[in-house]
Amino acid sequence: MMKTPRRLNKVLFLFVSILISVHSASALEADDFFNGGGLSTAVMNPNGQWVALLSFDNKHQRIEIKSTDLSQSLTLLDTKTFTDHEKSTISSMLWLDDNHLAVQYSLYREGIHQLKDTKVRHDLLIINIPQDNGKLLQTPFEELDIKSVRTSGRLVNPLEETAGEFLYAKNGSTSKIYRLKISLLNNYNQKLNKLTRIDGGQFTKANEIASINGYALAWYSQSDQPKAVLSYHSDDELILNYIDENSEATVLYSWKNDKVLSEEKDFFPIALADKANEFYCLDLNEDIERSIYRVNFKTGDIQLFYQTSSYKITDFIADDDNNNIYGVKVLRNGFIDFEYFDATETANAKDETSAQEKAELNLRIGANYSSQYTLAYRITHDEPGHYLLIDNKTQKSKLLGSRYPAVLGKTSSQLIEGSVAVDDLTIPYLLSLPKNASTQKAPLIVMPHGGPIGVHDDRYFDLHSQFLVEKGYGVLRVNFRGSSGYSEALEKAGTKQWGDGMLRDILEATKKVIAMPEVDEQRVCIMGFSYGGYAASMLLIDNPELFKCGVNVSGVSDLNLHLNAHFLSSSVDEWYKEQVGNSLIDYDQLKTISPIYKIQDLQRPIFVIHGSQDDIVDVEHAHRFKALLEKHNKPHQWKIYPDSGHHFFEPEVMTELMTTSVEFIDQQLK
Amino acid sequence: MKPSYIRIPLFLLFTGLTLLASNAAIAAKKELRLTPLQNFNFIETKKNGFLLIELATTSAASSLEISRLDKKADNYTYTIGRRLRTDYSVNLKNLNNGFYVADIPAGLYQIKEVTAPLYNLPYRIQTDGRRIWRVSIEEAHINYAGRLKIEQERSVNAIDVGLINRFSQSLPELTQHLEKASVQTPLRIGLGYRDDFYQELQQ
Repeated sequence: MMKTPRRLNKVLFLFVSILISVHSASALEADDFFNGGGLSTAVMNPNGQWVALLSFDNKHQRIEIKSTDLSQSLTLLDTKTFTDHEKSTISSMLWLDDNHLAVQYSLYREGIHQLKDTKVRHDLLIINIPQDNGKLLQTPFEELDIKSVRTSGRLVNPLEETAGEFLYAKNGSTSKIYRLKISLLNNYNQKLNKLTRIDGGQFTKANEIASINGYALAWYSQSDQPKAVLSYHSDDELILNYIDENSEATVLYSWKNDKVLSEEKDFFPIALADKANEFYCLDLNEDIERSIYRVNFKTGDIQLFYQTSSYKITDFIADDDNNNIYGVKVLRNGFIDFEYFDATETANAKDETSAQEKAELNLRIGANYSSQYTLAYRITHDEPGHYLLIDNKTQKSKLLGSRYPAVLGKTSSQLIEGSVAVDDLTIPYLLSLPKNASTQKAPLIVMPHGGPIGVHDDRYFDLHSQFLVEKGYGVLRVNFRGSSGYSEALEKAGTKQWGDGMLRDILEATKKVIAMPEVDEQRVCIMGFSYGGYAASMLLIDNPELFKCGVNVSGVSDLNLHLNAHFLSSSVDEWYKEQVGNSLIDYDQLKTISPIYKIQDLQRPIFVIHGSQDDIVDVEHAHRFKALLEKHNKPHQWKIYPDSGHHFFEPEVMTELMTTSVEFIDQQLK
Repeated sequence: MKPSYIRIPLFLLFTGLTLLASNAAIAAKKELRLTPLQNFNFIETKKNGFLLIELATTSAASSLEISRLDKKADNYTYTIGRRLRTDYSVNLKNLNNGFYVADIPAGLYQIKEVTAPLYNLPYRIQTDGRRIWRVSIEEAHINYAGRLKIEQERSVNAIDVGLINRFSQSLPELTQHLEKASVQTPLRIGLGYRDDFYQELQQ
């Protein structure tokens, strides 16, 4: 397993201390937090000369190359200018050798709702870094030397040590891995004629490295050699094969013939683990893939390894040997993002009270061959994730960039972790307080997370809560029953508890926290997005003595309406019936836990916010709320963003949303 | 055993009835004409109600096929156990967006098919398996059946189709129309599932 050297921790700590000491005391505003730009990931080339940085902005991504002394940089690729109008994303990048960066690039063509799938064109772009004797040359993208592989398949190993070559898998009734030369590939978007050989005619027996009968869904390699393959066969059989030194495949597990590993879960291996027969897997039966398991396909041992707090896991991030996982690629705000964790920690601590993460994360995510440079990632509860380049000879660190560059080094808070007993459960919570809370009681904003099932708040930097802390508020986040990240028992306890147990968990945690001397129990408000908005409305109505105001963003107001939404697929419809209720049978009960049917009891002001384009909770919920608030003459604010969806991806909208929410809360708690 | 001489006439009678029935089924398919709300004359007739639908389409020549499931408007648990015949077809060709009304017998209906040609491509979506494509028509009521969205986007060759419950959002405009025309017929939410919102609002 990849561990963070002690020396590295020391260097990181020193660096961050300096960073924090130089930050100005100027007040941060919402646009500093929500401006939408930042660094997603960084990779260093084998000789340590260049670092490639992938950044995201409001609606596009950009790859920048920097020299490791940071004296030179150039923008290599920008999705804004690389294509004309269609949506495109960069999902990964890695160095094939010192001069070639491979970029997995996808171009989306929207499909037909309920009829045609969205078409996605995937291109593996291999870009030659424009340079002259170590000097980066600014080059328009039209003039870049870009090769691509036209044959359908995937890169399975960069062969970093062998300049100009890599391993590529091609699938068919027989699937094979080939060793390809970059120089022989066609130029990207080059028009082919009869004399042009596709991909340089390299898919031949002479270049074949491994072969398997059946359609290979995934190859798993280690030290440049394929070690296992998952293949699909014409008789509907899915087989996981081990490949020995002689390239002979033996069946490790057959989905058709072997004993089912779990009645509830359908494990799909994504990467090799460091022990024989063990793989890191996703569970395909999970509603949305947010969990990683370690599964031994021989013994049947299963271990929950990691759960993300992001929307969905799309891939793993592993080291060069491909069997030490230290992160996952996730979908966040519509983009592929990179999330890191300490694998040694994630394997431990699986009970209801302790989360998987360390209080702070200092992680080595790469190094050049000579080990002169280390690429590191650091995140804490009050510092956003940022990337550092460490010169191991001089012990000097350089900041490469941050997820949220405008606030790095300018934020601070105190994090208190605790738990409260509700029914037979231990409910964990995270309380973030302004640094001065010990001398001046902080007003409190309770922020229940969305989801609600299979989602959780983690210990690390959270943009919304840190923003509220900077505005002088304490922020309470409760991992109520149904939340992931702690134990399966806690998650399962959320079934059909939308309007009952989950709300009681939040309430009890609030009651415990307001008894603390740092918190002003007279000034408490509740705010949430999605399910959090629903919970905010319900708890505000039921507990006027506790909550002085509420902010409901994208929340459900009428559960029966939500369960009959026009966009629910059959599978989601079934999931809701199991997890929430069946509108056909439970209509009256669901009505009793719908905020709009309790509005006559509302005693405190509420702010209802929604996006017209919301395709997860329809905007009709906000209109119903408004109609009944007006009917009962209840104090409220109401705001509809006509172009926004459920998540308010537009930085300017989120900036305004958070600013007006804080103004509303300030007004109610003054 | 019956005498053989009546077997032939019985067989012929059965065959004839079958043919008549099938002809009747074909003949039963009627065109449901939609009239703009502002031009509609609400004259209540026995056992009939008014279907009110809001069109929000960018498709020039869409149409719907509708099947009557049950005489009871509120039989929301109705389970389809047969192949649905088409009782009504609704031609949306050249209709502008807005509210439309049609006079129709009370009962529970299923929109079973939506046709929305995408430029030169025929496009049909079968909706007969989905409860959210049901409409509930109560006698002597204006039954809000939802907002029919059929959106085409040329740049991406896409069609987005849905019957959306936007009753509350549409209510102010709808009320304005009905008050202007002095319509006395009561309004209700007439999608194919129970929805108490309007009752709550009126109480």
